[in-house]
Amino acid sequence: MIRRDEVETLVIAVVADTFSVAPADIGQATTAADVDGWDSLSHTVLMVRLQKRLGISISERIAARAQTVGELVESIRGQIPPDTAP
Amino acid sequence: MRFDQTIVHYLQRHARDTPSAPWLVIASGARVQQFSYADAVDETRRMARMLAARSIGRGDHVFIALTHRHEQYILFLAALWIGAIPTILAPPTPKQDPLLYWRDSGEMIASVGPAIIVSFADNLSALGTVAGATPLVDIDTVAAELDHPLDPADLAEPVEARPDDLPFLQFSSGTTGLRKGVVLDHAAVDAALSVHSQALGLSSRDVIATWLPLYHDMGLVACFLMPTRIGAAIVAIDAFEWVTRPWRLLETIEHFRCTIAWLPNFALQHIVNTLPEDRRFELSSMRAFVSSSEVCRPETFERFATALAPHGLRPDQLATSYGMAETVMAVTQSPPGRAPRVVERDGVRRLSCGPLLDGVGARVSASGEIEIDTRGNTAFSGYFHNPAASDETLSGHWYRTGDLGFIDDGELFVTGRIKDVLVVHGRNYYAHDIEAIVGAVPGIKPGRAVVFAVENPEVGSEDAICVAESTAAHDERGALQRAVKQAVFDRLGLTLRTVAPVEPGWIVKTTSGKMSRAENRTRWLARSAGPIR
Repeated sequence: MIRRDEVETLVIAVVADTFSVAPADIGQATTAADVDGWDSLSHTVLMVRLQKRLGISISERIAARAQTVGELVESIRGQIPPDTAP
Repeated sequence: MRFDQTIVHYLQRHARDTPSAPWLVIASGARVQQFSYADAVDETRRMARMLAARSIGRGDHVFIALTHRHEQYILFLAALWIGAIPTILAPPTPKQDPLLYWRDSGEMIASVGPAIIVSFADNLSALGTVAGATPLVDIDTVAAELDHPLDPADLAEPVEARPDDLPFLQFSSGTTGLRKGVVLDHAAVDAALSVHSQALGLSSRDVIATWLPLYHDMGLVACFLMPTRIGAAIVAIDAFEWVTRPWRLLETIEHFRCTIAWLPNFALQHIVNTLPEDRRFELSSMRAFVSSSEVCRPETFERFATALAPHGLRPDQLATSYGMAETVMAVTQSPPGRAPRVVERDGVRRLSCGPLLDGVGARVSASGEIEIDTRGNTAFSGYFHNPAASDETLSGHWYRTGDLGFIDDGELFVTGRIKDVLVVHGRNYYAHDIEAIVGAVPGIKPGRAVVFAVENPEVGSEDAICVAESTAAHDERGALQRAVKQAVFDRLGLTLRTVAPVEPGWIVKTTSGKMSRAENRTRWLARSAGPIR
């Protein structure tokens, strides 16, 4: 299971890979409209890739509500149990 | 002359001969509603009574703007039952601003003058701002009227039709002035559906799987009218659900043992791009996945066949068709049971759209344009109340499609188009329309935006690219790009892939001031390797 603190890096990596942009160009405030090719169809492709890479299932309802990459990261974090203390 | 071959006459005969045969399954999430042919007539008569109670009858226009629900189908049939002319309009999606969305429809509504518009509550107030005095009806408020028991004499028979009556109006997408209603007649629709059904070997044993909305000609004609005419079954899933879960179509095929599905090219690729790795789908019931409504690409077929081979899919279960609303739907159909041919021309592999349907005449002009003979089964006589658009596309009895292609060994191949239309995800958009919307966004120089399509094999469709002149400072460009994308999406439901602000003077115009989209496209493609400034 992925750790909560890994989510942001992984989401940004998958977004960057899916839309062929540099990870450095993707930030918390990035919206779909900022990224060439991010439409409703490719959003589904992104969700499929994220679920595969993160090994979790992402609720469609929650994913659809996220307006920015930061909100998407938060909503995914919310679906992962808290990290167990060492 | 009495004409008893309208869709509702067929419907009535099926209800009499095979009343319990399945007609329509509407699946939405876990909810499934099923209707037999007897149910279809019963529901249609109730809906027809609702329309007749509002003094709607022969020759009146009925506009339907509903989401995925069975009443869309029933209203369409009910209008035909009483001799009215139905039109299905796409409602705005939840992500579109309904006021902006409907703003462009006022002129079209005024031009047609519908006797009624049926929609749903969330949509009605925005629609009301452009509907003038047209009565608006909320489908959910007429439930009591529909539930009221039918008297055996209540509209027991569909009204008599004439072969040259207008059966329904389909409007192209677009903004003011560019929306064109296709004028056909009952006899032409019947003839076209008859030859297309024969080419497919369609029978009452077929089960059609569809996610296509009814405002799309393929959704309306291939996935609703043609199966209803022949007494086959339709299983319809919600288009929005399909976008987020494309494999729902495969589940539907497996569960209902479906035999035919129509998909634009991009939809095959979308299924490939999102196919779950941990699932197997049983697809042996399928006679044909028919690709139509945008250019059918050989590489997409190959990817689909490869990705679905582990699910038992064979290449001979893939087929192609070419057509448009102006030709009722199809001009060609590749025969099911045989993979369409691939031919190489000028170094590019092209997928066959199959032979011409019986009775359909087509030729390729000297300029390479595909032209269709309207004396055949199509009888397309022009656009509704739009002589200028009709004159532009009809030369004598030849309908100029605006598509380019060639004929090889009796089969039609489509290679491109000369009209200024973008076909994105199976839907057509006029370049002028998009440019006008972009030109009105503050920060863009009016009249200095150009829009064109670039093929995207990863998506299996075209990308819409917009290059627009702007004096916006570098740090304002992100906001400007977002504003342009939002404006186009609100009005047309299209997501531009790229909005590229460029310096004033970048866009090339001819000496007469006309925009050359091809030239600007070439210029953009040459520059896009590096930064555009």
